[in-house]
Amino acid sequence: MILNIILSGFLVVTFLLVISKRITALVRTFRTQSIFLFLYTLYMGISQRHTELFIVCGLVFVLKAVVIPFVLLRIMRRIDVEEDLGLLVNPQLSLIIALGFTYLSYLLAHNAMALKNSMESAAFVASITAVCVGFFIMVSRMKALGQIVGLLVMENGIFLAASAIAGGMPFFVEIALFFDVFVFVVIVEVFVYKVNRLFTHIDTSKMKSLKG
Amino acid sequence: MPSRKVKLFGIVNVLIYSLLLIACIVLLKYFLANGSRPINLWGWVYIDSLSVFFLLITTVVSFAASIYSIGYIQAEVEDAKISTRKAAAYFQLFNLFSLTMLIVPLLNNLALVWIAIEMTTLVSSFLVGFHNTKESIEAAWKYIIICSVGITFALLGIIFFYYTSSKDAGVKSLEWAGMLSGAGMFDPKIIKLALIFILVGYGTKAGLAPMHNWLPDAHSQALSPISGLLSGVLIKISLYAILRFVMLANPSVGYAYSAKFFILFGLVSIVIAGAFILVQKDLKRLLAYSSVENIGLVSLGLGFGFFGGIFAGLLQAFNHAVTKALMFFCAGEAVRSYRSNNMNQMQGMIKLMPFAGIAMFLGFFALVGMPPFSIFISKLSILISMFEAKYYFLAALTLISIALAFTGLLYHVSRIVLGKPLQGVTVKREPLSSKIAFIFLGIFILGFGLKIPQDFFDLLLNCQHLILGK
Amino acid sequence: MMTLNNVIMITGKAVTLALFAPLVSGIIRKIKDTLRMRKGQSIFQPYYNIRKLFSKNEVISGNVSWIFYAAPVIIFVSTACALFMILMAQPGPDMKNGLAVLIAAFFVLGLGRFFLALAGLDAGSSFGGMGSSREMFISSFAEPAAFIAAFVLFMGGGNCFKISGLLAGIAIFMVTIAETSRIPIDNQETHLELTMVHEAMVLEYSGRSLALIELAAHIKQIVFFTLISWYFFSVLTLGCWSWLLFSAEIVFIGLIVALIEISVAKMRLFRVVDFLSFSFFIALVASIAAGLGL
Repeated sequence: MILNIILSGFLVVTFLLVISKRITALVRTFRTQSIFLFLYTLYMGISQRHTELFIVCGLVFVLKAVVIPFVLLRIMRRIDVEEDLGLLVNPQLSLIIALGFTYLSYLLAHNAMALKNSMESAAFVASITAVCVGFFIMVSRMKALGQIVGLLVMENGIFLAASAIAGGMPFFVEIALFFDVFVFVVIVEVFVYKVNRLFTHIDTSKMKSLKG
Repeated sequence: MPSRKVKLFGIVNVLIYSLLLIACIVLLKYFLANGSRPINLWGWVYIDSLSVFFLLITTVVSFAASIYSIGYIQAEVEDAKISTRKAAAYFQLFNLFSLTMLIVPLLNNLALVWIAIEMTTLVSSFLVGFHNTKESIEAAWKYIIICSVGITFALLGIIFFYYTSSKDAGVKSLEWAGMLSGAGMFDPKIIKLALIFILVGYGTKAGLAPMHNWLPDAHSQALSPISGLLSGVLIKISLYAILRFVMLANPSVGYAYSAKFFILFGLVSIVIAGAFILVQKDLKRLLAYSSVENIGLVSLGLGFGFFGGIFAGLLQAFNHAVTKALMFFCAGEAVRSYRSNNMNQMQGMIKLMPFAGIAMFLGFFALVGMPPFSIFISKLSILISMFEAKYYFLAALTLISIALAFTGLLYHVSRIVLGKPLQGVTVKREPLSSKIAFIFLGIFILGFGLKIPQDFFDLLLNCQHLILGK
Repeated sequence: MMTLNNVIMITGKAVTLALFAPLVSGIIRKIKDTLRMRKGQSIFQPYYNIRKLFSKNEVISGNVSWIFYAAPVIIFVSTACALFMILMAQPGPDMKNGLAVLIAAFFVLGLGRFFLALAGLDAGSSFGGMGSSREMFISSFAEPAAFIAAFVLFMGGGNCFKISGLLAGIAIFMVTIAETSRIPIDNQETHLELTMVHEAMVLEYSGRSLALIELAAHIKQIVFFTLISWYFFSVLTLGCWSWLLFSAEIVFIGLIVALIEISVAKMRLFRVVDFLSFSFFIALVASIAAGLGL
């Protein structure tokens, strides 16, 4: 039952991501999604009693719920851009598309993967929805930070998928993946500063000088 | 003088890479002498024919790029385009980039391979945006974002592989040798889905159309030695990752399934690249689209694996790596002399810089597949395998696209190399290191065109057998 | 089933709930004031207000039609009917036509809302018209969400152990905030006419009519709180103490509403669209999940 609450929360927050219109709202919703991911891993850890799962759980919290949102919000404070996220698709249509993704992931879970256990299938649906929603946010939001958060949401979804269907990846693989996400955020932070300094905005729809 | 320090860095660098090249050749000999049995060290390192082949590509082109870097960076420091500190940063990034590419063929654990490939993206993005201009930072940003999305999809595919491996085959790890032993019991439905994700994901990084949008920008804005590395090595390394998963999928799904996708992506790449080559104004972008075309050819070759296409495709990968590196280095010389990327402002290179001009002209002939150069052999082999498979229409389409690319390249390159130099253009001679790099690469291009060494031939045959799963 | 016993029990329940409705509003008000570090009104203040209003004369504009006189009565009666119907529609082993009765209840509430909007327009004041148009705008988004959430209830999703139940509960909670005119949709404590929605429509009313309309608003709040408790607390039953439990649930929901009211700012009107369309889509997802049996 608790798992149901956690997964519903994760799904609701994923939908909240597509209707966010401001950058800081997007980052904070991402933080909430990471917290639900942490709760899911915590529940799995408690029910399976692996110390490794607890370590992974702690890493999820520290890295994805504390450090990365802190870094992203710090970027927003340092660069002097307006908060508007630059939507290419309006929020209501984005929600309909997200709904389509949920249905798609259900089809995937039922037909391609043939998952029997309903808890596994529910978590898998939520995770593939998160991956598709992350990709959609990357494609349909004009600001650079929107693209970063979209990628991070995709990683969240993949982590949940791994936990749901495979019981998590081998331990040190998880550690390496966390390290990789962290390095990615650090490097992309440097690039956002560079983009801002050169273009005085972070609007990727205006970066169109290389064509053909 | 600051450029002397740069020269010192460069020479130390070259020494390291020469050692690496020699080590790789020794490894090749030892490996073949040992009957081509895979080497498994401590569970972390796994070397088989495919690894040795891709290691060879990496070390050869890295060595050439390190030689070329000396003169290139020295010239940049002397022209006051970058400071000595930034030149030092260049060498550090260069080495880090090469390191990440070198360890990919060696690793046993597939997740670590994924991480290494992600690291190549992150490190090379700094090299793409090295000059901090608007265009280069835009290219670097596009590069990071598109390639990271791509390999995130590949990660999803890896998770599906892991799922079916742990559920159906009982192998709860991502280690190659273990997974291969249990590969017969994978669930075909899941593997088919996973392969799509892997192909699209790693295919983004390999530059296969329609996921190739980042390639012209990134490869044209990077520094020329790095362009050579990117076009020559990095996109082949991503192909290596795809091949590993195809080999895992063979026992359960069969090679024909992956072959279909290779043919599809290859054809689309060739057609799109052929079209775009005709309308280019920027020299390095032209070469980047030619890279897309060639990786499409490699993929096409891999698609006709049952008719000897894998041998041809891998041979094309090696030959293209070496030839494209040469072309990018010549382009680097041209860009440095004419101070612009625009081909309309480049004319008469053969009079201003004879060595580089001749190298570019001969390199152009090599690139489009003229005998006696090496790409002729590999392209012909790919076409032969297509004809043997009785795919006549596809072969005709491929020939038309290759002809289009040939026309485009001929028009542009001949205008650059021949013709009257524009008024008031003075250039310096190419540095000695560039000449050495050209000659080194030329040996491979010409040598492999005349006769492929027996060791190399055996290596490629082994790779073909490995991939087909015999 | 419509046995006499049942009808008498339900009527008794409805009357009791209607009598306690202003108390719930008073409790919510008191919680808000306490959290704002004020002494605030007493929890029985709504009763005092209604008694005061009943004893006063009405001041009626000269330009009104029969709607002005009829509207308060219609509103009160329709809301009371809706309360009765909700209690009849409670999902359980007895009620087979629960969904039909629930939908009828929503439509009856809609009738009340329709006449409220007309009454706002009737006196010819601009604030009334503004309130009416805003109310219609908000309800056009809130009603579909409420309907779909109601469908989910009867598709087997009325269980808070299930994902469909949780999601539909969230959707109905957001609809409740819209229907009971609470922040972040509408502010019950404002005295600025340009920010009013519900208050603007009843600006012209005084005396007994206003008392009826206020009582109807309290009862509507109880109706929606009951609906929410079906989603989140349906599994809690304590037999003979069920009345106490139900009161505790209503007060708990009121506490949550009060907490939301003091911590969030009122949204601009065009953002209400985002809010309510989000609740609609959550309800849709809940219905998909209910269809999948999740």
